[in-house]
Amino acid sequence: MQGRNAYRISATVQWEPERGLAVCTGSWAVHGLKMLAETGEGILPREPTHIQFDCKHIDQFDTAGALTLWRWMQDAERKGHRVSLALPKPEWQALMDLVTAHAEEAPKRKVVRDISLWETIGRAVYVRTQTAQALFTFLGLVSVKLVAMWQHIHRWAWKSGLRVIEDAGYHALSLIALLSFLVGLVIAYQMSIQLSTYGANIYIVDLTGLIMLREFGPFLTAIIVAARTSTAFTAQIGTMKVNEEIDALETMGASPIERLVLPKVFALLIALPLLSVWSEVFGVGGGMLLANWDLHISYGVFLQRFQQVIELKQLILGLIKVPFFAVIISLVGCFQGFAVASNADSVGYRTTQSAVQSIFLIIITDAFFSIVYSWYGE
Amino acid sequence: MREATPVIEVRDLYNTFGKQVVHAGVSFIVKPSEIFAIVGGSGTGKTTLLRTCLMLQRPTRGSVSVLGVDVLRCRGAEAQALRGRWGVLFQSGALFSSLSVLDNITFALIELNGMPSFRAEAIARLKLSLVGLSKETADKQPAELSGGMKKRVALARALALDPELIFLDEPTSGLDPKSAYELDRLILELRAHLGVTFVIITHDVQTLWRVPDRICFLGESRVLACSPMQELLANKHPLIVEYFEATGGYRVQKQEGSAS
Repeated sequence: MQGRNAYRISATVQWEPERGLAVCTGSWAVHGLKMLAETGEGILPREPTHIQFDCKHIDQFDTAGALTLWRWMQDAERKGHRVSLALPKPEWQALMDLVTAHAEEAPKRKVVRDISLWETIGRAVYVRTQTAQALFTFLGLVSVKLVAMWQHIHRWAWKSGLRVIEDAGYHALSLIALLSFLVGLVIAYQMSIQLSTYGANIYIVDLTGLIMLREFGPFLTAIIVAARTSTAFTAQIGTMKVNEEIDALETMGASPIERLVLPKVFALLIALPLLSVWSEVFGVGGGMLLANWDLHISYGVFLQRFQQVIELKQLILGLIKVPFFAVIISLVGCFQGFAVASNADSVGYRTTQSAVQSIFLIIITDAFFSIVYSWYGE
Repeated sequence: MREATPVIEVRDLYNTFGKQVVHAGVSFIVKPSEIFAIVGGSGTGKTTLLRTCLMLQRPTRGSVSVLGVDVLRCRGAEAQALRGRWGVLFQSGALFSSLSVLDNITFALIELNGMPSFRAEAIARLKLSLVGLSKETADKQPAELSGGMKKRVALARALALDPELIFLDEPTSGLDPKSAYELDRLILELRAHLGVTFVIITHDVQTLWRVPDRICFLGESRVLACSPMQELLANKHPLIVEYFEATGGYRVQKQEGSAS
């Protein structure tokens, strides 16, 4: 083994027919075996004969080399040759004995089955249905725990709820303010081009106000929080699951749902409406700035018109949706967290799923509310 | 014969974290093909020492050379070559949780050494058999394994590249006595057949009796003693006496004595 890195000559086998020797040379160690063929096919003769594996010229020999040599010999024997082996050093012979005692024939390769398109679709549908069912079960479980919790309200995890409000709410303020402001600006810009061609500049106030209050404020906030927080919930609970922390909680008699899920649901129920209003303020602010720049509507006029045309009802219609978004974000995040299996890939997969599913459900819910509002003529 | 240069040479090692002094002048050498154990109470810096040797952590000062390479200075290709010459068994196994058992073992062979997969798999299966695991284990996921099996797979992974030096961090903790005994036998066998040098961190007194040539006792931020088990037990330093009284080292000695 000395000077192992000094020479790494590839292991080779040469057939010498006149002496019946398979001369092995080079480094029969883990670093030298890259190029050597799996068996002696093409090197050793086809017709059965006596083959002696001559190892006098081998530089290095370790278990990888011994195993490779063993498999060459096995293969030669299977092809009808008589095989013998001469190892120059006793410790190599000991190594060979060790390997012979543990080695096994090459296992049959597994055949990878082709999967038809129908099977792919079928599997996808099955998985989605299962997920939906599991999500509803989880919703039920959380509801039951919610009812049970009122009996021991003193045990409630207030602190962890407040932490979530800080992380998901307070720390998101600047991001949501900036993005809402920019979205308000962009929307107002698109509308201002259309409105100014009709000379209906002042309607920018109505449009910006309605869009931000009824749709974009709550919606944008929910999407941002879903991306930011639902994934954080999944990663947190998922990592706890991998570390068996969830099991530890359970054995202490502390319900994981009560400790981990309910505080998050309540925290988002409080934080998300506040964030929505915050987002609406900045969205309308962005519209107001653009109306001033492009359409020369002064801030005073904008605010006066806003007060006249936007009723309080519009704000409320927007905010009604927010608790639903909050529940979707927290439940999907926690649900995916509990679905994590004990490996590193799973945490990544579930975190992605958590963002995808919560945003998907938010859009569906938002569309559903639009339909309901239109029924009632709002 | 092999060269006489030590496999590991730690000289005057200091490690401090803030105000906490972990090592204050630790020095020892590990000879080729030696089985060297490191013991000491909790918090005496056994794992820090291991991490320093493995280039995972830089010491405050001192010099450490492993397999003739100065681990504090080497970088790039030299460091990479060094990493190919040792194997490590981490305390918790540290198996790649998203890879199957077989892929865990073939990882270094295929990804870092360019070995064709048929050969890497054959080697991996051999190593699994060497550590006493059945064929069926190969296709399992780490999460499906028991603690003892995880340790064995981790050992098989450490053995994958036929390293010259193997670090074992608490190899027998969490194993049943029979598995621990077999693992100890395996370590001795590997040393005999392959001339592998072992550095073992352990609290298992049985292992300490059976396996190491020399035992390095860490305490008071330095090496209190570095000798074979028999001599170590004769050492009257209060920390050493306390340690072996608590772990039953003296009792085991009697049993071994009566058995032989």
